[in-house]
Amino acid sequence: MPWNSQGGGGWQSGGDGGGPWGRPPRGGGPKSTPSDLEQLLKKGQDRLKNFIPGGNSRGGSAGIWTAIVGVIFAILAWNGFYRVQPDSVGIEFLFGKAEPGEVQPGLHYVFWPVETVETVPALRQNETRIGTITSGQQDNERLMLTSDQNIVDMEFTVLWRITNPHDYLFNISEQEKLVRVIAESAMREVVGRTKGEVVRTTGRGDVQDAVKQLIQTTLDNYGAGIQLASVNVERADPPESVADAFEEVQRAKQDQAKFIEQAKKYANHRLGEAGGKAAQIREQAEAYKGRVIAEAQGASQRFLKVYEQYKKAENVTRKRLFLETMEDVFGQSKKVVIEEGAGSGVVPYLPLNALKGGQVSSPGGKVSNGSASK
Amino acid sequence: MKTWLSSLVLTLVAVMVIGAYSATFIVDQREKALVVRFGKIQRDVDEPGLHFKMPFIDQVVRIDKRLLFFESKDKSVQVVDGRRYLVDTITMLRIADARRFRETVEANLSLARRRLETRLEAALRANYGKRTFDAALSEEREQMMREIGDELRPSARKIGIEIVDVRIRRTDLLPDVLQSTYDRMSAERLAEAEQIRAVGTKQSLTIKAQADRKAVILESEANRDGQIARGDGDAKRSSIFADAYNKSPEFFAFMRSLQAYRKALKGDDTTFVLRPDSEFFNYFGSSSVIPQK
Repeated sequence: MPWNSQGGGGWQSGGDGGGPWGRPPRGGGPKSTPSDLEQLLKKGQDRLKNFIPGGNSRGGSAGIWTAIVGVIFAILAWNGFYRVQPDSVGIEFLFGKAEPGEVQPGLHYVFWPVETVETVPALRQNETRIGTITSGQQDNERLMLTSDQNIVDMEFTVLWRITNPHDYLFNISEQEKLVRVIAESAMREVVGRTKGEVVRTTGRGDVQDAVKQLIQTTLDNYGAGIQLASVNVERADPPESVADAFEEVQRAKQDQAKFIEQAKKYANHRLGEAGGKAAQIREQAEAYKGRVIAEAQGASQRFLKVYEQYKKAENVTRKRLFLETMEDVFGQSKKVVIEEGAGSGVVPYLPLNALKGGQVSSPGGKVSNGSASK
Repeated sequence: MKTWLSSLVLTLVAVMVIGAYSATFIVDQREKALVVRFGKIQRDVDEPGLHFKMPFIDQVVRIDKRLLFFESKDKSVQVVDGRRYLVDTITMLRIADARRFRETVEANLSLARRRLETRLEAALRANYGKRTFDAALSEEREQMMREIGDELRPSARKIGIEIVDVRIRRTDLLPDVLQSTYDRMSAERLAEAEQIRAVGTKQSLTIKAQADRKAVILESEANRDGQIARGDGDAKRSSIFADAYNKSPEFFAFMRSLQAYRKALKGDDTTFVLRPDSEFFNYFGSSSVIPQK
């Protein structure tokens, strides 16, 4: 635009996108600008000049005039008819001055080149997304400092629509970029006074509300003609380089639950076993008790029965019992009987070991070891 | 003749069209214009629409009326405790005085921007330099933006620019500080993780120990009850025997002895060395076969 011819480029020395001048706004911006208009006029002149010499070469001049008028009408019609897309409204200009009101979607006509038209996508919901990983933006657009000097990795979207096409077109420049920088600045401001933990977890709703409020106020101050529908925090995570440490916390929580479950398992097992063992001990004791009592009863009954008979014939029975016992005892064992006085004066040789086994007993308590006695 | 005439008319028309075009200019709704003749500003035009000028001599300088902004990235500032940060700002402005704008900076926005940025950097440094980082980051941010805007305003006015406001966008840590911040965040999380695990271990050990205690108590109680039961049994046994044997302690001793002999001297590996005059051999000698009276 005019500025470029004198200034030599806009002021975007930083190599950032197009300036507010020099290029028509992008996206849903105006479709034609005065510069286009001038170019078209020039083109028309050129065409006319080219056409005249052809007319000089003595053709039917009436035909030439008809052709000229026809071409002019064609150009007027071609540039005059325009269509407003269903999501847009049009604003008509008379010699660059905007006419009040908006043109609704549909096919319309302006008396070009006196009148021109620009369309604004005022019925569309626009989405500005900030902090997308794939956006190719440098990382620090996503990383935001919190009030406790932690860093969160944010991604959020702003949904907005144009409520006043006149304000939108005539008050602000680089509209979409403006929304983007205001939104980022507002988000950083709100995040900057919130704790990292809160931003990441419970505070998202509050952050969204505060940011929306802040953006709206700022845009209203600029008379931007923009109304925000919503601000949505899509992502509020710890930055990638510490993500592992944050996941470690999750893993630790899992571990904690696992430890406790394992302990419960152990406890259940241990208590079950102990209960069983306790029951076993009790039953065994009861069994013992039952057994010894029964045995005692049996033995005593037996004794009493024998005693009853014994009482009837004490001596005989006593003798019999003794002899029977001795019979049993001696019947099964080896015996050595030594006559009193036999081998007196000499020490009888008694090879006890040779008598198989070392067990030597002497009933009656009397030592019967040879003649040493008496 | 006629063709000659018609080409003359055509030429005249063309000249008139070109002249008319050069004598008019259109000011867009978004613009103001200055009419400049030989480098001198003749007049300024605020109203959009069709305007006239001297053909071929007057030039038109168009100036944007809209809100304009520029970003200033990564300006290094130092806060009160000496730590350094990178700051991004956005300066919102309008060209308020087109004449002055043309006179001082040749209506050149990049030139104007360079002038403003020098001033802006100074204002940023001054404002951050008297605050702590926490204050700059959060509670005094708005006030800072206001103050920076105020400091910028007079020098902007001199070049015909009205500063609408200056917004601080980013306040970033320097790369090495960023790394140490990451390290600290990691360390904090790892500590938290360990704490969680420690709680888990503690609870786990507690549960196990409680289970062990209950198990030991269960078994011990069972043992106690068992011993009591066995004692009951033994006591009962004793009393049963005592009741029976008390009828004749002498016979009991006799019977029990016999039983003990039988049991103790069982087996064929026992060797008895006996005297023939023991009671068992009462009749073993010949003399006493016939009972003596």
